[in-house]
Parts: sequence; structure tokens; C-alpha cells
Amino acid sequence: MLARLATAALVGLTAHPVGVEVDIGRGLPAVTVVGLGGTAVLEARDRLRAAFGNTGYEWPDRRITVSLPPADLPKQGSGFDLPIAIGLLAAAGSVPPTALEGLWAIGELGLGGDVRAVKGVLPAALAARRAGARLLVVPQANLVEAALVPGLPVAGAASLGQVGEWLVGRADLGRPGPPPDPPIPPAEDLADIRGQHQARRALEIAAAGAHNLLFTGPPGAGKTMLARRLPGLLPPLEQDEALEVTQVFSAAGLLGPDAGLIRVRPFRAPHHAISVAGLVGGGQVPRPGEVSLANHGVLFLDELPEFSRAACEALRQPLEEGEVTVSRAMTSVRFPASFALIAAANPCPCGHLGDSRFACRCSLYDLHRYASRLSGPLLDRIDLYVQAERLTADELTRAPDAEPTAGVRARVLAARALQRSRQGAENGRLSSADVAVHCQVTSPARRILMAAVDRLGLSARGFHRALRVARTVADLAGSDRIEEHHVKEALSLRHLPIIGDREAELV
Amino acid sequence: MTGADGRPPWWTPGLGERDALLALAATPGPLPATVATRLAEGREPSSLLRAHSPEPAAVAAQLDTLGLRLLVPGDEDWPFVASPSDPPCAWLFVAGPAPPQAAASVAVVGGRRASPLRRAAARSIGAGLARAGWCVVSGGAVGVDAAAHAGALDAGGTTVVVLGCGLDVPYPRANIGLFARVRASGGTLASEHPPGGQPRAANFLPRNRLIAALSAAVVVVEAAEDSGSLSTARAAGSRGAGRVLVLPGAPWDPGAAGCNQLIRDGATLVRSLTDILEELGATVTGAPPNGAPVNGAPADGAPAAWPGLDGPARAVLTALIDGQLLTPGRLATVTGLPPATLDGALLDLELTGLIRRTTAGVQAIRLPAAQTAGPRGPPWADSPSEADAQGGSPRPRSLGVADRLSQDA
Repeated sequence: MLARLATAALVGLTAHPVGVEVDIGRGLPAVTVVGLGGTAVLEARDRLRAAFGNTGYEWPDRRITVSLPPADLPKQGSGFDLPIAIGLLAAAGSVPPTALEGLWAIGELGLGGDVRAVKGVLPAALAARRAGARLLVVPQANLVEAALVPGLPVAGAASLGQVGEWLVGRADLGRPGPPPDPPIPPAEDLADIRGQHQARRALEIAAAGAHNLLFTGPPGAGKTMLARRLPGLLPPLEQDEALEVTQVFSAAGLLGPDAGLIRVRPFRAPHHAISVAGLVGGGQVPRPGEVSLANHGVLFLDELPEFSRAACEALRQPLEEGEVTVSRAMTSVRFPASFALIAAANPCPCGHLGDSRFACRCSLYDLHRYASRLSGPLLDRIDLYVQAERLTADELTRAPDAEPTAGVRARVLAARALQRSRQGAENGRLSSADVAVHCQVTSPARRILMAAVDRLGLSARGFHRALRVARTVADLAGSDRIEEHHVKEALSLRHLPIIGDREAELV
Repeated sequence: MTGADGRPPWWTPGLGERDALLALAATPGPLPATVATRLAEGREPSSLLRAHSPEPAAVAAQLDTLGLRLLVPGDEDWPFVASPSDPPCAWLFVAGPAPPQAAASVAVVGGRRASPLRRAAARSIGAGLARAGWCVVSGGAVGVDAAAHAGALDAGGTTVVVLGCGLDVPYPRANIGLFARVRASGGTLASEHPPGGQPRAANFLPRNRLIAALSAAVVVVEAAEDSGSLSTARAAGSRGAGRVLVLPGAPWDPGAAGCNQLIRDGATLVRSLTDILEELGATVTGAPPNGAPVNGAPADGAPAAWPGLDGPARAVLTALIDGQLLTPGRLATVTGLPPATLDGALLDLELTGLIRRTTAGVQAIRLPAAQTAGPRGPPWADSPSEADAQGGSPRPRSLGVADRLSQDA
């Protein structure tokens, strides 16, 4: 007898509909799974047999054939256990075949018959809704996640026994409760940071114009603390953004049990020893990397010069296109990767260059080498450069109370609204051609920029960067025109050399 | 086969003294300064040869290939006084002409990490000394050494670079271009280390002694506590002949700690190029413009005399006047300026070329022209106005070497 239902296979971030056909026919007892199933899929046979036994169901000692169409799509993971089990129950004749009409299921079985959480439930639910599913059965632990997709009936299964009873109408599955409470705002507030005027201001500009930012400063200057305040300055996640963020976390298996929609912008701080695959995504079965986990949020790269050159190079595509393509022999998948980049670096290899309390022990040669490690395509994508400073205890106590996040965020939101109405994108994402159109400066301001090109060695790229940043500074001030002092502030946040030109000339 | 007394196999009793010195100078191992002391005690050069000492002919051939020469006492162009009791060295490898006699040279010394202001001073002093006809002697390091050479070369002078390694060893790499410039303009690279000698820390104290011995005076532009420049100055002082001229600094300026100590110990304080030239015995002729002190009185550096700077810029520059590196945050604390004003002032000063910003912080690189000094720059600034002065504007003429020597006679 043949039973048919549906499930989904995760490819990258999107789930593809996959049929589950179970046939029990005559022949020697055997189980065959066809349809390019991976190791975990093939192992379903053994899990199923044990789960059936331990639930008290009789295992059909006949020839069982399981097909997972489309047959040319590779399938990975353990989420096929539950749909195959349902198909088996139906094919064995204990369930009316009509009960399986429009039914989707996903979940892993334990040997004891318990249904375990799997990753990728949210993408699967989206696929089920697209396909017009009547009901999606998911593991109880993934129920909240599946319920995030509006308009799709979902049910949670805790055990194989419960599913069997439900199929014959003797029990019900878990049903989603009311949506969880709105999230608490992040605890990290800008008011915690005293002094550091320029760094705070740079965060505000970075948030307002979607500019990437590099903090330079000695250890203990508070670079990480500053970076953690950025998500709180950004506008709240839109519904579709939140869904996309949750989708990535679901595909990466990072959503906790009963985790609902992620409404807080993610903050990812990968360690500098991270591999290229860990950063941008990869693996034999492509999984999203840190850049995708930071999608719509903040990616913080502490100790930037310690990241491998390959890792930094790999950031280029996501920084330019807002997504990343992972190509493998079998597949090529795209992950969203639109994030705000904040990087931090020590000023020199020993970390004490410019520190008043510790002498720097680096030679000029060390500094040159360090500077060359920092340079490259990554720096081209960073608009704002700030020196974070370590304050003395005295300076800390004397510093006035700092403005809390709420006030700064109000300005950020206003500035973003201005940008949206003017050009439909943030200033940090303007191309050179757009800069020429939208970043018109007054003539005194232009004179300052030209002087900077002449005397400060500002490059063409630096010139455009300064214009973009000045545009954001003006937007924050609610000014339509870019005035002299806006340009001055932008120039004070430009990329500075690690050592001066005069040394370069004299050494 | 090794000869008696550890002598090399090629040794013969008829070996000439110059050949023995040639072999000895190229013998790897002992510090040249140690060998020089032995020789001064009266030991025969050939008795100091070692089993592995190279053959004189081979050494001569190697020097020829590298374009080097070995100077030994008794040579016509040996730059040191004949047989002093404490010779600065026993031989000297040179690339280029022999260094001039000490009476024609002035050493300019300071550290590798001197502040930009002090490096600018070194450059300007190098230029001034060259214009006055002096040969500038210094080490080959980055920082003050390189600045002094560059200044002298810019002004068309010749310089002597004394190295602490073999003359064919490119150290420091960053100065290879400068060394080529020194040679191209008729200057000299000198060292007591044989070709291939590596720059070891122990080489540099004797090297500093050599710099002092090659000059009539040592101008200390920068000297931190326990620094090499301090040792050069002390070497000059201890020889009795050399003058020690020192640029002072504020007590809290780390680059001036050694300078101030030297002044306290009796060295001569100099405030300007004029002071230096006066100390060197050159006569200053011609009336200073507007009756103002020539090329720098102390008042020149006073903030009040900086025209064209607004209040915030003046406050920032005043905070930076000792040449130290300050972060913008610390500058805000020191000057008490609100952040926006400070940013504006910093940018203005940067655009006028008076300060420089790096990731490490803010530093002054030049002080603005002072009103009292007329069109001329501040005491040490290597400003364009100084270059103009060559072209006939009223400026004291400094005497060349020839004039000075005839005066001395």
C-alpha cells in the first residue's frame, strides 16, 4: 500500500518541498530509501525501527520502499524521520490515506519514539505555506518557531505514539499558544560610556548612515563595549527583516527551544581564529556563516589585523552585495549578509602606541608591517575611523553624564528617514555616482575638502568617503546642505596613517 | 696547518704592518674597539692575528670589489690626530672620500624615536650647518640621524655616516636610499667593522665614540635618559676637545631628559642655529632684520607671537609644544575645548601643516612663523622662508670652512 505526504529539504536558507512516498509491498523484508538521501537520511531506517518497537507498534516485516522526490535534489539531515514514520503508519493500513492529504511534517525520532527538535523549521514552514499545506507537524520544541509563519496551521508532536493516536483521531497534537511577549530592549546603553566623545559620535554617525567603522585604541579602551552599543542605536527590525534573521538562525540550528521571532538585531563577534567557511558560510552542506548570522545586525571583528587575509578577503562580497554565495560541487547557495561592520584594532603590535602610561616597544619596521596587515580591500569598505582612548580614573569620574541610547537613537531614526526620502538607501551604501548627485557641498566646504586632498594626502576614495560621512553628519543635523563644519567633522573621522608621512620620508 | 702563537697559515715573518692591519681589521670575532685598545697598549698588529684571519691580498681584493678602502693611522687622509693616547679606532673602512678632519665637522645626534619637532630641528640644523660649510657627521639610524643627513644634503652639503656594521650591510634597510644620496653628493660612509659585520648592540657605543671623535662639536638634538646620543655627547666631553651643544627641553619632555642633564653637567645650551654657529666660532655679520634677534630668540616660540592662529588652535599648539604625542581625548582634557571646537582646531592646524594626526595621536611637526622674527620661521623650522634667505634677502652670512680655517690661523 502506498502513502504520500510532504516535507522540506533545506538548501542554504530556503527549504524546497520534498515528497515522502512510502510503499509497503511484497518481497523479502527490507527497507530501501531512494532519492539522494545523505547519511542521516539513510540512518532513519534504524531509528524508525527502534522507535516503532519502543512505542509498541509492529514493524511491517515486508518490503518497504521510501522515495523522496524530487530524486535529483540531495537531502541532508534527520528531519525526514517523522514524515517517513507517518507514511509508514499510513501505508501499514492503520491510518486512513485521506488523513495525509496536504499534510507536511518534519522532525527527528529518538529510539524511544520521542520527537526531537531539528534545524530549519522556519524555512520549512515558509515552504509549506507557499505550497498551500493543510497542516505542518513539527517537533513540539520547534512549535513556536513554526508558528511564526502567519496563515499556516501548525501542530507540535512530542512522541511517535502521540502522532499515531492523532492520526487515528484518538488524541490531539500540541497547538501553538499566543505569540510571545515583545522583547526587552537591549541592556547595553550608551549612557554606560563616559568620555569617549568622538567614539560615541562615530557610533551615532555609523548607525545613521550605515557606515562601517574601525576603532583603534589600546587594550582596555572600551572598543568592545562601544561596539556592543551599536545594535541598540539601529532602528527596530521590520517584520520581514526579523523573519529573515530568524530564518538564518533556524538554518544554523542556533534557535533555542521555544525561541520565537528574533526581534533584536543580532550582534556577532567571531573570534579572530575563525576559518573562512565559519565567517562567510560553507561546509559540505552549506551552512550560514557569521556574516549571515549578523544579517540585519552588527558584525564585530575584534583584533582585525589578526584575522587571516583570506577571511578578510572573503568579506568583500557580503560588504558589497549584502549577500554571500557559497559554491560547492553539488550546490551553490546564497545567504543574506547585510550587516553593519565594526572592527577594532590595537594601534600597534604591542598595543601601547600613543598610550600615555605604557611606552610602545614596537620598532618602526614593526609599525610598517602592522600597517600593511591592516590595509587592503577591507579598509576600502570602512568609512569611519576613530581612536578609542583609555581614560584615567580621574577623567572617568570627571566626565559628565553621557547621553543615553534613546536620545541618540531618535536622531538616528530621523536621519535615516531623511535618507530614505531623498535617495531610498543609507548614505553608507551610496555608489560614487550617487555621491555626486546627493552629496552636494557648499563652496567653503568644498575648499576644505580640496585642501585636505592637497595637504593631508586624501585619496579619491577617501574623498568620496568624507563626502558620504559629511552627508550623514548633515542629515543628523537635519541640514539639507553639507556645510563647512559637517565636512570638518567627517574629515576628523578619516583614515589616519599609523605613523606619519614624515617618517616615511625620513626613514 | 696553524702557525705558532695561533698565527694564520699564510703568515710570514716579513709581513708589513699595513698588511697585518688589513688582515686584523677583516678578522671576524673581536670587537674592533677592543683590538684598538690592545694596539694602543703597544701590541704588534701581527701578534693579534688569529688562526682564521684572512689573507691580506684576499681582503684587499674584497674591498676593491665592494668599492671600499681601509684607512689606517699614518695614511695621508687618516682623519684623526696622529697617535693620541686614547685612539678612537685603529682603522676605518670607508666608502667614498676619507672623512674630513674633526675641525671641519659637526656631529648632530638624537634618537630614532625623537618627536617630529625635534626631527624637524635636526633637519634644519643639518641644513644650516651645511650652508655654513660644515660637514655633518651622524649615525645611520632613522629619526634624528636621518633627518640631520637629509637636511645637510638638501642644502647641498656633504655628510659622513658612521655605521655600527659592515659598510655592505644594508642596515637599517629604510635608510638605504639616504646612504646612496650621501654617496652621490660626495659624502662618506664609515665604519670600523669589516664587510659583512652585523649590527650588534655592542657595536654602537664604540660607534658613538667614533662620531664624537670625527667632529669638532656634537649637537645633541634629542637625548632620552640613558640614550645613545647621551653616550656620544659624553664621549665628546671626555675627549676634552669636542664641544657639546645641547637643545634644552621641558623637564617633563622625555626626549629632553638627557639634554637637560647634559646642560646641568656643563654642556652649552643652544636655542637656535645662530647659537650653534656662534659657538662654532663663525662670525655673524650683517644687521639682523628689524633689529630683532637673529633667527630665533626664546620669545619666538611663545604662543602670543603666533599670528594667524585663532584661540582654539593656539591652545592646541601650546599643549603640543614639547613635541609629545597626545590623543584627541587627552587634548580635550588639557585644553578644555568642547569636542566640536577641538575637532575644528585640529583640522585647521593639520591643513596649515603645523600638526600631524596618526592613529597614535596628535603631534606638532612645525611651529608657525613668529611675528617678531619678521618673515623668517621659528628657531628650528625648515620653512620656505629660510630657503628664500639664501637668495639674497637680508640674512647673516656664515663663513665657509676655508674662511674659518684662515681665521683660526
